[in-house]
Amino acid sequence: MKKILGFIVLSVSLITLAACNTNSLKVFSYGDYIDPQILRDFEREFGMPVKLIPFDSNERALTKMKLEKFDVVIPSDYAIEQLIKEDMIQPIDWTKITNLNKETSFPLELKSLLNDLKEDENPLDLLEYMVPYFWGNMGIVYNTEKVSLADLEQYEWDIFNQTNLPAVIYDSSRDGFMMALKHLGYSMNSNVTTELTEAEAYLTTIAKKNNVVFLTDEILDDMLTTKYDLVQAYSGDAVYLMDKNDKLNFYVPEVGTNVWVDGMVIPKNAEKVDLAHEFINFISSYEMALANTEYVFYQSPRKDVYEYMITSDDYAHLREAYQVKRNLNDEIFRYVPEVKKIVDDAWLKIITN
Amino acid sequence: MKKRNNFLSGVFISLCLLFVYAPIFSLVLFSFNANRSLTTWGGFSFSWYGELFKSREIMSAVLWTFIIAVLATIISVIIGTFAAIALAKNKRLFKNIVLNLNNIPIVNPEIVTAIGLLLLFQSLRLQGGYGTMLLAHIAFCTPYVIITVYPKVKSLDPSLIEAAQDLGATPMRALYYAVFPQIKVAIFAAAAIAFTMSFDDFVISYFTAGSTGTNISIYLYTLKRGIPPTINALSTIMIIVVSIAVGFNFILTRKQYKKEIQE
Amino acid sequence: MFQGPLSIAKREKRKIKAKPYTFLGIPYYVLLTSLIVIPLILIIFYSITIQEQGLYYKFTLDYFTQFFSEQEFVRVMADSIILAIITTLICLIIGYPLAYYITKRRPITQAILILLITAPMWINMLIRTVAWKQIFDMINPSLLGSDFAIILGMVYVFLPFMVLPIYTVLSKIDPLLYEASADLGGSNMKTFRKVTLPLSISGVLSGITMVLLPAATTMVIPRYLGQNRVLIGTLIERKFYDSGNWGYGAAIAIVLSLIIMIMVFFTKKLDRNKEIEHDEKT
Repeated sequence: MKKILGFIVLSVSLITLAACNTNSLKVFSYGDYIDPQILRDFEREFGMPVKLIPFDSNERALTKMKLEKFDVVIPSDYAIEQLIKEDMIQPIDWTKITNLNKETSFPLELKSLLNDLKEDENPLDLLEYMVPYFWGNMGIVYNTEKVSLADLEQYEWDIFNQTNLPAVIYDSSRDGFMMALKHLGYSMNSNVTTELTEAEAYLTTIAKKNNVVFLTDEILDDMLTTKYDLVQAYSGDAVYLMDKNDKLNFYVPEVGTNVWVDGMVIPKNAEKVDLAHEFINFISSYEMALANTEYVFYQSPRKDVYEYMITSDDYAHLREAYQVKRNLNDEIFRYVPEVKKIVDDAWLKIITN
Repeated sequence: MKKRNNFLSGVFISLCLLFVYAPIFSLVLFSFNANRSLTTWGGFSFSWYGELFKSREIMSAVLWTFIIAVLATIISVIIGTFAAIALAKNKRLFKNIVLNLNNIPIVNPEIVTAIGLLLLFQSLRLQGGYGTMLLAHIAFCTPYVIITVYPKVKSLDPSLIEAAQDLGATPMRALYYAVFPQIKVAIFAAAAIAFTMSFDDFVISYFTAGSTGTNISIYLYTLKRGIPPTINALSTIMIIVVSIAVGFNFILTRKQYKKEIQE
Repeated sequence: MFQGPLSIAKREKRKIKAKPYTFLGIPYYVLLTSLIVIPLILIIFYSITIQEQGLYYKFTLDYFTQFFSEQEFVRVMADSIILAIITTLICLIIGYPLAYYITKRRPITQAILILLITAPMWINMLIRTVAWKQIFDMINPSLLGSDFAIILGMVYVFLPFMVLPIYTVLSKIDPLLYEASADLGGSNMKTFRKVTLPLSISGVLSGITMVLLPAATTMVIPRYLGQNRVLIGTLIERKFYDSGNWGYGAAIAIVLSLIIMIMVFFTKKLDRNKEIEHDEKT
C-alpha cells in the first residue's frame, strides 16, 4: 500500500521536476543585479519564462558554467577574458543588438576603457564577446561625520591601515590585492612575486587590526545605519548607500583604482542563442536600461542614461558616486591565471587572521 | 526543603525557556514592524506578510523545501524500514558490517557527506538540481530511519512471523499483519526525524543543489542585501504551523495515554 | 542423532522463511554503496591524487602537507574545535541540570517542557541564527564577530541536542532505585553521584557527540554571528567553490573527520554500557 502511494507521489514529482527544468531562458548573474520588473516585461513580450539564477562571485560562476548550461551570463571583465581564453563563450552577433551602437552608445569613459583594452600590448576586444551591462569603479564609502576629506586625500587607500575607526575591506582576493598593490605603487595586474608578497604582508597587517572586517554585500544592510565609518565598495553600492544614508560620501583614490565593466555573454553551449540575443537587446533599450540603473543603482552603459543620471537634479546627491572620473592610474583587471591562484590562496590566509 | 528545591529548579527551567524563546519572540514581534528596520520599532503593520506572498523566490524556496522533505521522508522511510527488516533476519557478520557503514553519515560531519556527494555527482556529470538534492536527502535520511526502526524490529518476537506463515500467509502478508502494526510507532518516529532533518537541512543541500536547486536555507544563505523582515513573517508562519502540529500531536498522545490507562 | 522427516521439513521451512526478506534490503544496499560508501572513497581518492596532464592521476600527500604547513589554516581548525568544545561544555552545564529538573516534575509538565525545548528545532536553523543577529544588532552590535556571539549562537542552536538524550536516559531510570538508595541511607548528593550519574552517562555521551560534530563544522553561525568569520567549515567550502581545488578541500575534510572520529571514539570508550542510543527527536 505504502509502496503504491510512494510510487505515485514519486512519479508525479519526478514529472514535475522534469517539467520545471525545461523551457525557460536561463540567465546567470550576480544576486540582486537586475530589476525583476524587467524580467516580467521580457516574459510578457516574448512569451518565454526567464529563470534567474544567482551567483556569489565570478569564480563560482565559472566553476558552475563548466557543469551547467545557461543562455545568458553576466560576469566581470577578467572573468570574460578567462571565458574567452577557455573557449567557453561565443561571439555576439551585433546585428541583433539594434538598441545599441558600438561606436556611439557608450559613455566616453567606458568607451575609452574598452578601447585601451583593445590597443593594449596584450590586446583584448571585449565587445566581440560581450555587451556591456553595468560598469563603474571602486572606492571608499565614508562617514562624513567621522572622516575628513583631507585624511582621505592624504592617505588614500592606506587609510584602512592608519585608521582606528570601524572599517570594512571587500572580501574578494582581487579587490583586496588591488588596493594593496595600488597603495604600494604597483600595477594591480602585477605578476611580480616580490610585489605580490609585499602586498600580502601589507594586507596581513591590516587584517590583524581589530577594527577591520571583511564583508561583501552585508555592507548594503549595515551601512544603512552607518555601522562602519570606512568601507571599500563598488561605485554602484556607493550610489545605493548614498541614496539611503545622507551621512555617506564616496572617495576614489587618486593613486589609482579598478575600473571595471560587467558584460552579458552567451556560452557556447547555450540552448537558446537567438532568444539570448533578444534578451540582451531588450535590456539594452533606453527604458529598460534606465529602469535597471534606477533599481540596482549601478552605472548604466548607455550614454544617454548615464548622462541623464549625472545631470538630473533628482540624483544630484548621488553624483559623486555615479560619475566615473577616469584617472591615468586606474586599471582594468586582466586574467592572469598563475597570479590568480597565488592571490586566491593568499587571501584565504589573510582573512583567517 | 523540597518546596525550595522545586522553586529553584523552576526558576532555572524558566530562565532556560526564556533563553530559548527570546529570539523567537523577537522574530515574531518584528514581523509586524512597519519599517524595514530590525532594531527599531516603527509601528504595527502586516505589510511584510504581503511582501512574503508576493516574493516568487521565497515562495518557490518554501515549496521546494517542502516537496523535497516529503519525498525524501517517504522514500527513506520505505527503504529504511525494509532494510531494517531484512537486516534483522541476516547473519551477524553481514549485519554488523552494514550497520557500521550505516553509521557513517551520522557520525561524519555533514560537510564531509556533502562534499562526498558533490564529488560523486560531478564525476557522473550529473547536473546539479532538485534531482541531486533529493538523492542527497534520501542518502542522509535513510540511516536515521534505520537506527530508529531497527532496534524495534530486532526486539520483535520472531515466532510471530513464523506463526503467521504457518497459518498460510505469504511472506509479504505476514509482514503486513504481523510486523508493521508493532513497529508502527517506530516508523512514525523515523518519519518525523527524517522530515525534520530534510526540512531543516542546509549544508548538504547547499553543496548538492547545483545552481538551480534552492530551499529555504540555501535561499537565506545566498541572500544579498541582508535579511529582510519578510523572513520574520515567514518564520512567524512556520512557528504557528509548528505549534499547531506540536499541539495536535500532544493532544493525540494524551488521548492515547488516557486510553491506555483505561485499558 | 535420529532426525525424523518432520523435523527436517521444519528446518527446511524455517530456512525458506528467512530468505524472502533478504531481498527487501536490496534498495538500501544499493543506496549504501552508491551514495554513502562510494562518495567516501571519492573523497579519499581526491585527497591523495593530483591530476596531471589531463587524465593521469598521481599519488600525492601534498594536500595534507600543504594544509599542515599553512599556519593560519591549522589555527582555524584548532579554533573551530576549541569553540566546539566550549560550546559542548556549556550545553552540558546547562543541559544536564535542565534535563534533570524536568524529570522531577509531573509527567504532564515533563511532556510540555520537553516539547517547549525541542519545538524550536523545527524552525529552520538559519532563521534561528538570524534571530540572534537581530537581537545583537538591537542590544550591542559590537558583540557581533566576537567568540562570545559565536558560542552563544551555537549553544542556542545545539542545546536541545544535549537535553533530549540526557532526558531520555534520565527518565528511564527506575524511581525505585532512588527509593532504594534513600533507604540505604544515601543523601541526595550521594544518590546522584552513585545512582543517577552512572546511569545517565550514555545519554551524556550521546549528547556530547551530537553537539560536538556540528558545532565544529558549522558554516552558518560564524557567518551571521561571527561577521563572516572563516572557520573550518567555511574554509572547506571556499576551497571547493572559490578555488575549485577539490583535492585540497577533500584533504581538509578528511583531517577534520579523523580528528572528530578520534574524539568520538574516546568518548565512546568511556561508556561501559556500550549501548548508545541515537534518539533525537522522539
